[in-house]
Amino acid sequence: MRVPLSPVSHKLRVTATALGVAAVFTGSAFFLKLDAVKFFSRLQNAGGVLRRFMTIDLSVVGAATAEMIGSLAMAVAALCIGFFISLVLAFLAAGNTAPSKPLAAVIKGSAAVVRAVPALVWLLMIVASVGFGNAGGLFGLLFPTCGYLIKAFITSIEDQGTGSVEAMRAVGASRIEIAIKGVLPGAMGQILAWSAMRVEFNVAESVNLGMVGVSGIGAMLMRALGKYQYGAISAIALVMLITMSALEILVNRLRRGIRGGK
Amino acid sequence: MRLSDKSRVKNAAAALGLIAVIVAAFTYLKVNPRDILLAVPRFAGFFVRNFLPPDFSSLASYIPLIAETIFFALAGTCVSSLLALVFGFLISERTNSIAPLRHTARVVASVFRNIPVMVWAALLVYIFGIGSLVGLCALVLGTLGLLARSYAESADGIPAGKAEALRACGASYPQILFHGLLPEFIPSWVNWTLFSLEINIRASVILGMVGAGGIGIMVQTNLRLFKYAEAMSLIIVLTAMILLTELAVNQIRRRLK
Amino acid sequence: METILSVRALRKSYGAFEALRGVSLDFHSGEFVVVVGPSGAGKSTLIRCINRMIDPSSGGIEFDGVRLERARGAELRKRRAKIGMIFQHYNLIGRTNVIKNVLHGRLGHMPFIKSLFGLYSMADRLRAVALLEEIGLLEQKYKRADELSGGQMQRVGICRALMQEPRLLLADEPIASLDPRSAETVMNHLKRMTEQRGICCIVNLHQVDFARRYASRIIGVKSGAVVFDGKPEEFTADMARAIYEGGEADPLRGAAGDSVSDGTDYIEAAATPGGEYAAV
Repeated sequence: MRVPLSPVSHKLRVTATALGVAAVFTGSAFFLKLDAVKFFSRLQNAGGVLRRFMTIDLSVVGAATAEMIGSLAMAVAALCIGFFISLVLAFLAAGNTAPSKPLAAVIKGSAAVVRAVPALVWLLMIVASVGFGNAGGLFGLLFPTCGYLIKAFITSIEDQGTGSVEAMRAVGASRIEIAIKGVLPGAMGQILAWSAMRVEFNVAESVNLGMVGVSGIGAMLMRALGKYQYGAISAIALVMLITMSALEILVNRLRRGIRGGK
Repeated sequence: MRLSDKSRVKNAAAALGLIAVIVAAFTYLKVNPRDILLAVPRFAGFFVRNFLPPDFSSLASYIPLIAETIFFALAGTCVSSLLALVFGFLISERTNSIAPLRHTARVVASVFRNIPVMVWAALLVYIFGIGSLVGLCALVLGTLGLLARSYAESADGIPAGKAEALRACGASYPQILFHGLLPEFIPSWVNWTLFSLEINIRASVILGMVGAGGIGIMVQTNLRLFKYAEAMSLIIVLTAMILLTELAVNQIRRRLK
Repeated sequence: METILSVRALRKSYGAFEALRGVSLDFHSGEFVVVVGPSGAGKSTLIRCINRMIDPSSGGIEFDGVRLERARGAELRKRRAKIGMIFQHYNLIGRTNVIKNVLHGRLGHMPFIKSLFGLYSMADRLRAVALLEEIGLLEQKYKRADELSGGQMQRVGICRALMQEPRLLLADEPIASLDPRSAETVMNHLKRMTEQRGICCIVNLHQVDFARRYASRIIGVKSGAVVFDGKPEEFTADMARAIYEGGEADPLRGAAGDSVSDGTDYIEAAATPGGEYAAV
């Protein structure tokens, strides 16, 4: 007599999944010509390279911080404008508040497409059209910001259900009244939490923009990399790291505060 | 529900602080709202004139690079989800009772996470030289930081009783880990890994722009050479690729449920 | 009767709070001991100190001739493997199937590598099947544990504990989360299966009527001290009232003391999960 630990069909499924994942990985690695030997031989350089990175050129810290603040400012400004645009569009598209179904479908579909285009590609297209500079960057960041926020806001608004909407409609409230007094108070906590999260993405994107562009802390980093200025590179990377970490902690605090307050 | 006076003051302070930050941001940028409004028709006009219609004529020559982009994302997801599992278990209190090790792992993961992937790629070129390895390593590092945190949060969410029951049976630490915690952890593992695939496919597209392999380099080059229609064809293909990935991931999620 | 577990002057304090204030007890093979007392009285702490899920502050625990309070590492695991335990929230691995959950009872008896590849011996597998058959769950052996009802889960919990071939079985509020009917089924199985095997069973219960029906010996605990130790028939209504009344951390204080005699109200009152582990 045999007592298997699980039925054969289950074992087959687990094995097939494992083999499938292994095949995907080896296939990809093969196509990319990844070479483990090369990886480890190159990895031995890491010690030497890292040692050179151990020096920090303090003279660039000031300039790097100024550029970083610029990125932060751009992220906040884009978020602020994007917030209001997204809020209006989300109310027009959410299932429980939408005035017209076709309009809702158009908004949702467009947001999905806007979201699918990587943020950096948006930025590059817009910078190509209106030129580098703060207005271009800001405008470029609006697209990914709205794409992300519209979807998030719709979810939060739909979470409120149809109950309060119907109740207010029954007493003859207008659409705007319903949105502001019936739905927004309940959804506001989540909406703010989503927005806070978006700040982090926006900062990262504006850093990325610099790396393919001509200004900002990203461009500064690329210039230093091109000239092998190890001290400057570490200083710039450190400014980024500290800013992003502080931002992450702040955003987490805010989100917890919002959740706790509700 | 009435807010207490204290929390009212707190809310007001928070609102004022927020407004101050926003005003400061706009002032620092010296951006005129008019400039932004003017940018809308300028972009629209430029877009219609230069980006449209997309020029698909040389698309065939890009196929290897597009495939490379996808393979980067797949390989990167596999490697980072395995490494992040180790990291996540090092960070979680459920699975690691050695506090100093836990804090170290947490700090390392946050360093990985808080340096943008593009920056990682640029830095890693110094170690690995230009090529596939840089792209893959950058993807893995960025995703690793994100996944490690998520995995740790999921591991923390496993009820303490599960491990307790196996401990009471006399099971050793690795046995508790493999027989008790790992099975309970699998759903979140799969979910976060699929999520990271979505992130990786986007990251893999833009990584090429700093020369870390993949299609990004061609988007960048076409835009620099003012070949907007050709860039547009690539952008359409990439967008379709990302949408399809999302669709596939959603399908997998639904079938797993 | 052979003494298999001796607890001597057992103390456990959490900061200023004393959960156990010097408990001394002897347990014998074949006994079905029910520990009663209000939540927060120290029942859970007592039971968890025995297999060292909680480390006592001081005192001795002698199990099978070995001083458990001194055991560490592999030695402790070896001893724990001989003590079965079942829990209020069953603590099964939900995504693992029933038979594997039962076989987890063998983990303490086998090396990691063997268990990793599921290399349980044929004897173990057959015994798991026999246990499931005995408890009426053989049909469900390949079902995921989280697909079972509460009563079924607790029965799997019993099988997992018995799979250890324990000499002592600890049960911490095994029926507190069950409806009265499943509770009875679970208690019946627990009583019968441990009795047949001559296992000493220590059960924490809220419900005084269940204690009277199943116990061969009742221990009353109040504020971390033993206040009653005797046969079920000696456990009078007055005694029960005294234990449940005015306990320091007693959520039932006041109303509860009056209804001990018929016992039924207790089931409802005690069904609200209490104790320091309820939140887990």
